[in-house]
Amino acid sequence: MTPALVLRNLRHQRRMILATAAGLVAFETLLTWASAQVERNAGLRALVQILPPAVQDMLASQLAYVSFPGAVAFGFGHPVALAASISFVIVAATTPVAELETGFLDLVLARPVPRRGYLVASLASVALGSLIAPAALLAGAALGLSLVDLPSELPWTRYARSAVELGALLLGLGGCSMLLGAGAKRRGTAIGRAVGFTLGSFFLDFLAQLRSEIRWAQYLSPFHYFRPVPAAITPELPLVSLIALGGLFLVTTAIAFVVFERRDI
Amino acid sequence: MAEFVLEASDLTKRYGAAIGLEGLTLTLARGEVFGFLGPNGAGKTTTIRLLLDLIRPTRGGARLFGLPARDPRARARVGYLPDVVALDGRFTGRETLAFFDTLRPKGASPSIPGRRDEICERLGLSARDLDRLVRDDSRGTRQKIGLAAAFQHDPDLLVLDEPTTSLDPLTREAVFDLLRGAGRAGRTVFHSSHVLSEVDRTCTRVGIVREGRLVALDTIDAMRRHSVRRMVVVFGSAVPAEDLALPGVEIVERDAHRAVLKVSGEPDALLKALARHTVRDLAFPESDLEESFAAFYRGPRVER
Repeated sequence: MTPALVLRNLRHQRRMILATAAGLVAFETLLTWASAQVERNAGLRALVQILPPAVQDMLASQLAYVSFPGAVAFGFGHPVALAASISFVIVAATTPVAELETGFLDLVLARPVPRRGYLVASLASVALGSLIAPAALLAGAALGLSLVDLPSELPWTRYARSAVELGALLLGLGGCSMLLGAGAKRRGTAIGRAVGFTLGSFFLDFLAQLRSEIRWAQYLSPFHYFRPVPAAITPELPLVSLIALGGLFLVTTAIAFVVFERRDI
Repeated sequence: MAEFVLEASDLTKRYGAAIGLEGLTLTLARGEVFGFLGPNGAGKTTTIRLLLDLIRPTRGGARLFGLPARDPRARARVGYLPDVVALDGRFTGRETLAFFDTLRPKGASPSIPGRRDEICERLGLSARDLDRLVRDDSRGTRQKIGLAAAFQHDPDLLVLDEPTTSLDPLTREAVFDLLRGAGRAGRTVFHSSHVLSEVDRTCTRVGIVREGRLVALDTIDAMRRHSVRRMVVVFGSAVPAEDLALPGVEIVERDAHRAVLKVSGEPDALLKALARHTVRDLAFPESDLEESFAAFYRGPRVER
């Protein structure tokens, strides 16, 4: 039964999947190409020198990675790429509440479909989104690198770590979105909660990096565990981040299943 | 094999202080076509949603085929039509039916070949209807597709919530035929409606729910017996109205030689009163269950 539900979700989401993937490939290719042009002419470090010293001090941790390889990795965490991939995951994670709102879920669950089986189908869409968005960015990086002349070889495979971290972030946010939607009666409410949580987490991480007095708060945000540029530049696998985001996904998804199992449809 | 196809025991659903359903105890045997009547908001849909485990009871429980309603296997042999048929608008009618047919337990066989076509034909669903996207369908066509989805796997229990909503008279007849046929074939039907004449035509037993409580449960025949009867009397001479003013008798129409009466309870006193006059004709038009039904609705307010 679950495969039938998964296939139905895939069929309905195929246009969004293709559009998101194509958009991300194009975005990362363009970013890589543009960064190569800047690097060839003035050098990306020269851009940093334009920034006021106070801003340079404030963003010191990020600016340390300003280089052509860093700029390619930056695409994985660029707000445009994040917005596109997180949107897909939120839409997939809130599908159950959308179908509850229309009444279609009544017809499905009146058949011998366990509630958890139905939720697994939505979870599969979340997982697919978490796989496709990083894969598209990785493909874009590979395509972009193949289009530019580089003084030294820069293999696209070094961005696999950034892609894995992004996939983990999307899974974590997908789990949170499922949890926030599991008890909702309307999709608008579920999406509102998920978007609010995502933006709140993003700015919490951002502000916590700027203000030393709230630095501790960065650990509360899923975005703290997503650092695509260091992940690409440094050779270590970001294990702590993967464990934190994977754990977030598992815990929130498990609670979402319990909430959905107990609720009135 | 379970003794009853459907069992509800003290089934109760409360929404805070408001009652959705209170203490429903009910059993349906195999082959029974049961009518569940009540005005809008009486608790019919709440009952159905509890029976199918779409909402969870505050107290009590339900079993289908001997299994708790919560067990998905219990719903494998159920065909369901909700009061508002919300189909996936991005599917065609044909894809909708195929999709619901795939939602069956592992190892269960698909619908009987030809059964779906037969149901669609009887409901007047043309190939053109089935090949159109559901979002472009009229409400009536969506209702027909919902009915076909409920019947196509030949379920042992049909749970239908207002099945004839939005249907034209011909299709209504087809639905009544399907329901009667299901009963004859040993299928159990739970037919919820607020239209008594529908239930009157298809069901063997009826329950009336009002303000979340079951206020009557009986066979259609018994309910007819206990119902208010109409009597048309033609007298040989003029009869004064006071001769007919008896307890349990209401004069609906009267002229010098003819009276239309509504009689509730035993007719003995009335017959003795009539015997004192020359009666040229006496007729009992088909007793109208609508009268009984309305009486239940007009009854004293159920205490909460």
